[in-house]
Amino acid sequence: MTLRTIGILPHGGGNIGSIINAFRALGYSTRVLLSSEEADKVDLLVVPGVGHAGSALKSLQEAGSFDALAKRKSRELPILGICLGAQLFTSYLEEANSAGLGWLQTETVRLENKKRFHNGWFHLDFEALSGLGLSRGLSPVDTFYFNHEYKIRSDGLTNIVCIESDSTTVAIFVDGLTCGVQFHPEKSQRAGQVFLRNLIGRFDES
Amino acid sequence: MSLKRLVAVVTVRNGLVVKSYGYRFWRPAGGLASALRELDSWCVDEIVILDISRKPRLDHRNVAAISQAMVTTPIIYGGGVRTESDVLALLQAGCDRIVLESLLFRNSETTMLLCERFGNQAFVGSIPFFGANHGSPIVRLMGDEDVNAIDMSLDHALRILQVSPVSEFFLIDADNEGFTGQFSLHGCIPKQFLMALNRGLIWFGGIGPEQMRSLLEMPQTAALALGNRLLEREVEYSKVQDQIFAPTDKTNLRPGLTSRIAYNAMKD
Repeated sequence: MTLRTIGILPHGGGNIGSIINAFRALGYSTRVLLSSEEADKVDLLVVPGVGHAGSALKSLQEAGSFDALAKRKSRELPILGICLGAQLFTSYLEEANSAGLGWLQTETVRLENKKRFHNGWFHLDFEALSGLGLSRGLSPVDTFYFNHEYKIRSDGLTNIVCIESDSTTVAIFVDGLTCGVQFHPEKSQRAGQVFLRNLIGRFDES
Repeated sequence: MSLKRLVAVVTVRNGLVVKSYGYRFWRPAGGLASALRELDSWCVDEIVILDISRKPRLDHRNVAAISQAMVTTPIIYGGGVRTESDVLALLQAGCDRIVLESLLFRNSETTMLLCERFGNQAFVGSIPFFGANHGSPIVRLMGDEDVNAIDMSLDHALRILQVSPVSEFFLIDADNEGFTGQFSLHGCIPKQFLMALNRGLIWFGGIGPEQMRSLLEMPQTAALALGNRLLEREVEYSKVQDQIFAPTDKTNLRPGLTSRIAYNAMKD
């Protein structure tokens, strides 16, 4: 399969402009879906970040997007969740005190660090990144932009990459053709663009 | 802990970029879209756009410029943001976070509503200090067409800020903004005040080269913001980063672009 079209699933928030810019810069036709029925009609579905878990879950439920997402997952079509989008794939979201989609058997819980947030740039566990085949064109010096108050717990998970300085916080998970990233590749400058290209390449090869 | 950031501030007035001095004098400095693209090409850690037009509404000329610029550097926007529609418009244009000042102090209910819709991490609280040069700063909220200016003691401001849900605070030495090397805030804000904020701090307002390292070494510092200095000379940003960045010191700064390029070249 060769990816050509990218669809963004809205959830009431989302830094949609940044995501559109990032994929268009890579040469992909990118649009915001007008209804959940369109979720099957794009090559890659992106669930964006920037939002509140409770508000996003409510919005997705009202739009019938849960069913659309489940259908897409069962058909093994590519899905990318960014930040909040990735957190929605977990089994529980503390911010909303609510169940998520349950694709990833772990919880999204409040960060424990002193400043209560991750705002800024982090190095990733580069060895793990290479192990997932996503490090081509990247180096251990590269950093990625995070902006979150809640984290996906890494306990017992495989096929993940954590933040280099915090092995309890998942930065990337891959489950078949579903990928979730806690950071914002659309705003991680060159490193983010290279990562997206690697990820799309991985989807293309499948 | 995240790496510390050097943030570029672009001050905008009535739809145009300006070099601002103490928020009292301005010199035109070109268009917003081109300024954003330049900063993006220098790979600055973040861009903060501050609209200082003193209008109680979002200026959609700025929104259009952000949309046109299409940058891959994180953008934080402040100035005139009042409603959910404002935040949505900015996110759809290419912004990632929002600075709140007037709402933060004057309308905590709306601040809460915005955070409950878009998440606390999407908002940065701005604290404009005046009087740092005299050693006794206050918080001064400038007025606009709808509201008068208010002066507030640090104690009063802290009571509001401690319970606000925003993710970081932007501390502005407003008197010295634009006057490189004149930054005076860090010497006159009590440590207890800073600790009570319990969030990452972004310092701004005339920070000079000799002040940067000591500010970055403060544990609570998340970022330093530079404004006019980055509009004055090309590639100044890379020079600033490389002057400060040293892998073994305590600043924990994100590696500069030239350091990253050099590392990658070494590996090849």
